Amino acid sequence: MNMKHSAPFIHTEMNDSYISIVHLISLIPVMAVAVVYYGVRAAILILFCAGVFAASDDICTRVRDHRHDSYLSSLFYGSAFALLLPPDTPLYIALAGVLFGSIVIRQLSGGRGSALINPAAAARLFIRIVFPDNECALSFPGQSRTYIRSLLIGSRGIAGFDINDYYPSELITGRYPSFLGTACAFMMLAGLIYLIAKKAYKFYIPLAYIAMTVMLSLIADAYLDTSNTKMFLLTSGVLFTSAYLLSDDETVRQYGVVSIVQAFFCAVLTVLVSVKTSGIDVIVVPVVVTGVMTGVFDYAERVIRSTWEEKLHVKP
Amino acid sequence: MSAGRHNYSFYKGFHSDNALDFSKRSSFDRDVMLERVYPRRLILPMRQHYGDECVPVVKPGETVTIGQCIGAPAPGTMAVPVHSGISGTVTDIRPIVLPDDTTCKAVFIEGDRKRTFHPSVRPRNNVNVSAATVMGIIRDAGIVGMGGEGIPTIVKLNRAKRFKVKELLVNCLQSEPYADSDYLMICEYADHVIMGAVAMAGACGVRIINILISKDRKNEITALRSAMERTFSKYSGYAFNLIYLKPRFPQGYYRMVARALYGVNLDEGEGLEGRCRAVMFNCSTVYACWNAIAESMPLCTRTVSISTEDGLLRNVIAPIGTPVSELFDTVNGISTTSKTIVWGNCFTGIQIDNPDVTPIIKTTSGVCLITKIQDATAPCIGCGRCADVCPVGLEPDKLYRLINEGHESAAVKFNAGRCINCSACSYICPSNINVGHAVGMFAAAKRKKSSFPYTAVGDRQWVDDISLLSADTVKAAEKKIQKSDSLTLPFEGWESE
Repeated sequence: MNMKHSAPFIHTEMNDSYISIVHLISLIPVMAVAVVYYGVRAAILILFCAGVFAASDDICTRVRDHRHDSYLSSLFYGSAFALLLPPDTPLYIALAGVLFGSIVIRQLSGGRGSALINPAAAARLFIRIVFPDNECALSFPGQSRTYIRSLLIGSRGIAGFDINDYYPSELITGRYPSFLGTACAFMMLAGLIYLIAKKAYKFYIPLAYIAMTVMLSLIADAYLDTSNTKMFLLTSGVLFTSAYLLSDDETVRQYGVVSIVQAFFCAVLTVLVSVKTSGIDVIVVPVVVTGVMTGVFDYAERVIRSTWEEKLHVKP
Repeated sequence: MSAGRHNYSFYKGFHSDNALDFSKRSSFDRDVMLERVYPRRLILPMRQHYGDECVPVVKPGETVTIGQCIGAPAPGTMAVPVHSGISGTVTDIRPIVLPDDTTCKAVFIEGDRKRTFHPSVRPRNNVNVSAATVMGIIRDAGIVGMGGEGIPTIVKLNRAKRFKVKELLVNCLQSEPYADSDYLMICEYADHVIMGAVAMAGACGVRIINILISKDRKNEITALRSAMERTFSKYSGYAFNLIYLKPRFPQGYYRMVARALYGVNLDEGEGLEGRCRAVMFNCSTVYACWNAIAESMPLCTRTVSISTEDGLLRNVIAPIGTPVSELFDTVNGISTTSKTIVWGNCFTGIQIDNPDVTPIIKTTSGVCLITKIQDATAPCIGCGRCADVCPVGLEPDKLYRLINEGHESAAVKFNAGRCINCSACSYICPSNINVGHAVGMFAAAKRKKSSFPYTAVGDRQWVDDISLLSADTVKAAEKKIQKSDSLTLPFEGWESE
């Protein structure tokens, strides 16, 4: 008797590993700029976070006896988290964030594909809350590239720093004290284009997010006398969110109307948060809330779609 | 004749993906496309269609010829006859199990290499045939839907008549990767396809013939257009339309066509005939009908695509019942060792491990050789790609979880029963999870059999008391010829008669 296996017998080449590798490659330009601007400590911080995130996921996966997890995505989350840190962040703070993202956010919710919110964004928000002083661990790019003492003791930060004092050209090229990954808009744009070109990311999600953010920021600028638009566009926070946080397959719906609604929702939150505060909150809070709301969006879409499909049952 | 109607598109599905760029795929190798396979032996299952099993009308040791009926329906059953595609001797009649779990008797025939035709297989002499005659010929020729479902064509024609359909759709939308057999048919026998459509339209009283084809199939469109122009001058009473659709996979399933063309979602148990006043036939089926009408050749051969992952593609005309191993033997340099042999196409086929005893049947449009089957590499990440391509608007990832966790009622609530088992979700899944199989199996188990539109009692009455393919039957039917439903066939020299 014939032994049967089920179709299909071919699969798309865009499998899990392919998508994770594309995401990792898209981070390379940003990581390169971070290393050029902030030197050895940036490289160590990125490698440390990526490595510990992957190791933590690996250990947790072994404990749970899940053998099919891909560690490429862990490397991506670890790297993305590191890129959201101030350059002078000590390793113990980074370690706390990585373990929180990996164990609490990702593994306790069931591992790969089960996390509600982006582990990198959640870990960064955790650091923001638990170690608020670390937000000042910034330094000027291009200076003291070989300085690594901050990895152990942190830094006192920069006194009297006001981002509004910088020229647009300095902001867009990252020549101001910033987080590791939000240094250069051009590099982020390159990463975003790469993701879209490799079909790992739909163009309409970042487009919807950026367009809505700019539009609402212009309105906020006009009515609330703020300078959000300039800040968002030039300091790359909006680009980092659209390229690396909203492209997360596991926590953000990537296809259909829901993905656009999510992008709009995230943009609204971004502008609302930016009116009240600044810094890392503007990047990670909207992403975390959007992740939590994914289930609600899914349900709403299902209700709307079933209503729409019922209309098709009308006789021609 | 209409020049063509554009802008129809199937709901979701997917198109072009790296090696599977359908638009760049060569349709076939012209040098080998007309190759006929003459197998040493045939295995002819008595049930190759949707419906009941036939009864063998030959015995071991009996000599058979090409086109001879070897299996006939028992009275009152929904079945169509089975015919031999080679001449030879019946060696055995015993039950077999087909890869799709169909268990039925099969007639084993050892070929004599003489290629002797049955006396009834000859070009038709008379040029005037009635609708009733056409129906009788199609019924006796054992023609079933060759696109995959295998519904007896006579059942569909009668259903079309009963619902007084207004349009006849010819489905030229073969879209599965590596399968090109229908396109071969269209390019080489476009005239036959168009004439078959005219005959079938005349049989069920339809005057509008719509040919559905992907808009990127330039050669096939040209062939069909030329054939339509030639035919239009002879049959001005019929309206011919070419309807272009965006190339997608999957396409061609009657529910999807209803949605794409008429903008309606068919309920369970509804067919195109009742709701959309249209009846649809696969182009290979239409071609087979014309062969039966013009040449008195019953359905005993079909075009089959033989393909491999390496891109080696060959279309052959093979007798139905040819063992899969003999099909692969026709391709030079192909080795089946340590490869997965697929009975059917790579999206909807079934793996077999004994090609010597597995024959192609009336609904088999291809066989494939696959080097490596990829296993799941990661758990579901909930990316939603499967929902993005699902042609019936399901969320396969959620259904997969519900089914695996035993929440069957919730899965039913989320319309799991609507799954058409196209495997598009499994193909696109980045984790290589066979989502479609789990949902499709669940849907098949839950779907009520009566929901299929061709199981109604009313359809069965049209195929009982079926006759064998014989001149007497045709003559008897032709006595009832009426001017109103007669059709003049455009045989050579017909204008002078």
